[in-house]
Amino acid sequence: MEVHNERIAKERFRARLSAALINIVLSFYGLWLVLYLVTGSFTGVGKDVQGLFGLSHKQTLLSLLPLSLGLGVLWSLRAASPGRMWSERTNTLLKGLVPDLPRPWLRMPSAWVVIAIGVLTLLVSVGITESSLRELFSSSGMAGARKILAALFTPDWSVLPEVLESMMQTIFMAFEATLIAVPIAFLASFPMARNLMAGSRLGMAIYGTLRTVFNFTRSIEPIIWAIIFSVWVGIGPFAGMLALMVHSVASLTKLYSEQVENIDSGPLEAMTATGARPVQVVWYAVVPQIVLPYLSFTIYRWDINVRMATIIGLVGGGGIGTILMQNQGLAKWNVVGTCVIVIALVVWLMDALSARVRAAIS
Amino acid sequence: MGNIFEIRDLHKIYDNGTHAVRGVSFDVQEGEFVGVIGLSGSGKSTMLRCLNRLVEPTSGRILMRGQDITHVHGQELRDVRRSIGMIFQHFNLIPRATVLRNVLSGGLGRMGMFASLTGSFTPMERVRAMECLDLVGLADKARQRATALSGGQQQRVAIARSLFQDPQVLLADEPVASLDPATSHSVMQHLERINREMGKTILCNLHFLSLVRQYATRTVALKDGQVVFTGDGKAIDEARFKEIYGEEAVEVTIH
Repeated sequence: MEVHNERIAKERFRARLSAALINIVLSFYGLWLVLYLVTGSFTGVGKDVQGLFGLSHKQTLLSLLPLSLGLGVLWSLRAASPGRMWSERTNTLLKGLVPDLPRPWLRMPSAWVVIAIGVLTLLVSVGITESSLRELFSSSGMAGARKILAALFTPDWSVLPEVLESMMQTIFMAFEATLIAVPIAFLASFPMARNLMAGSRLGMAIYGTLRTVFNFTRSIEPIIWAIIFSVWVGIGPFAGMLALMVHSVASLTKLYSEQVENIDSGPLEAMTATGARPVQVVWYAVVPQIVLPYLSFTIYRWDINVRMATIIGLVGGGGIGTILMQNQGLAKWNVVGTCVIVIALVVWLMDALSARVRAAIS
Repeated sequence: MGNIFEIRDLHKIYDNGTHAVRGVSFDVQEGEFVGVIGLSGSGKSTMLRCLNRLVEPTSGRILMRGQDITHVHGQELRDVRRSIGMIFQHFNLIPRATVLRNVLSGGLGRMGMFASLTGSFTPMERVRAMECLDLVGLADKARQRATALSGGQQQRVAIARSLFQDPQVLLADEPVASLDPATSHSVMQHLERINREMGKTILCNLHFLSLVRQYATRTVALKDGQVVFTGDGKAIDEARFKEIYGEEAVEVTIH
């Protein structure tokens, strides 16, 4: 029982810290939004940007720091503050111990502050994107759009063989990228599944490291990988394939490992109980449960890769995207129209095909 | 006859703070059929899983034939597990695999890595696996998908799997809780035979006191993670029964 109470006290302390931190960060964010709305700048970049109360913008921003620190700490005294809602009511150990709020959360003042911050975010984002209905429907703008759309719908069929040739390049690029990515992602997915690695400290270290590396890799969009590889190995389909492959490995491992985390743990327990080694446990208890979903994800990934391969072509990854980009630069809108139609047809076909295959095996 | 298990002051506190087992101590003698009873959440399952370390005890000691197995790890732990068979409430068979492959998987602990990954079982192993299946009366189902069988048949496949493992002691966690009464008795009779004819020690968690009285040679009752009774199941009268299961409880029997 003592061990239990000690754990709860420790957990309470951690929850208090994280609640204060969340409230401070939220307070700072809210004040920063107000500053932007008044001055028109987040960082004070640009001429004529003044701060508030006669201070410079930089000084105002710095003075927000102690202000939000104080506000955040004060806010943490309230049970309905977002920080405490989050750290007390989502924690498995504390959830049952905190008293109920006097009213539903949405009727507490703290909730109104959170909603106000949300509204401010929307206002600021409308300001930043310079959203304007007037420009969307201006007559000169509409005329330009009509010209391009008309050209797109009168494609130049004389370039069809060329376009098909590069479309094939794109499809095979996607195929190769998927095929190389699958075995790598397969092997990496097991050490990235929490349920398999949670047994030991070393396991959790490997899990954490791989997770960080692959999350980082995945957060870099394939189009940026294509830029990197087109410098590395030169512009062309090889760079595009590498870009797709790297991104496929990262996202397939995530999908695969989530599948591993969702398996029925019963067979795992049974195999462990026979005294089998971890690799044998995975092979006998995990793999039979995941083959079909893996296959389904892989086909889906090939489908995605074909779409992405066209985009990647735009930045020098070869294939049909490159042709599209060149002709767009030359304002040959009829050729662009041909490319768009071929891409649309192939994507539609792949989509229908992969949906069928996935439906059949699941 | 010596003790196969000596459990001393066993505690388990889960990460979420649940104190599931609170100072359990008892011995299991070689050749016994021990029935463990108690309400759901009384710590039966956790206690059983501590014995083959599927659950890591928080404190206390477990001796198996005099060897302290509370903290063994690596190959030593796998050797301990190999000598302890286990049967589960939900059978825990490998989905999509055949009945025969499921039985053969009981021998993974003594197989080489390469042979097990390529699935190259020796003819000897296959013959033995078929013998184990024959013992539970399922030899004709060997080529079928295990998870396509009925509940009772799946549990018998699980029994054949632990027979193929050839353990010294068998742990059974609610082996009949997801089965109907008739099938329950068939499964319990298989366990009884393994105990009486093959001399394997059995430790079996059960919901029904009537099953414990019928099959177990000794009874251990848990309540709130503590042992509240050990002895002959037939000695549990109504007062004892209410002590174990709570004042509201009424005994139901399974025929």
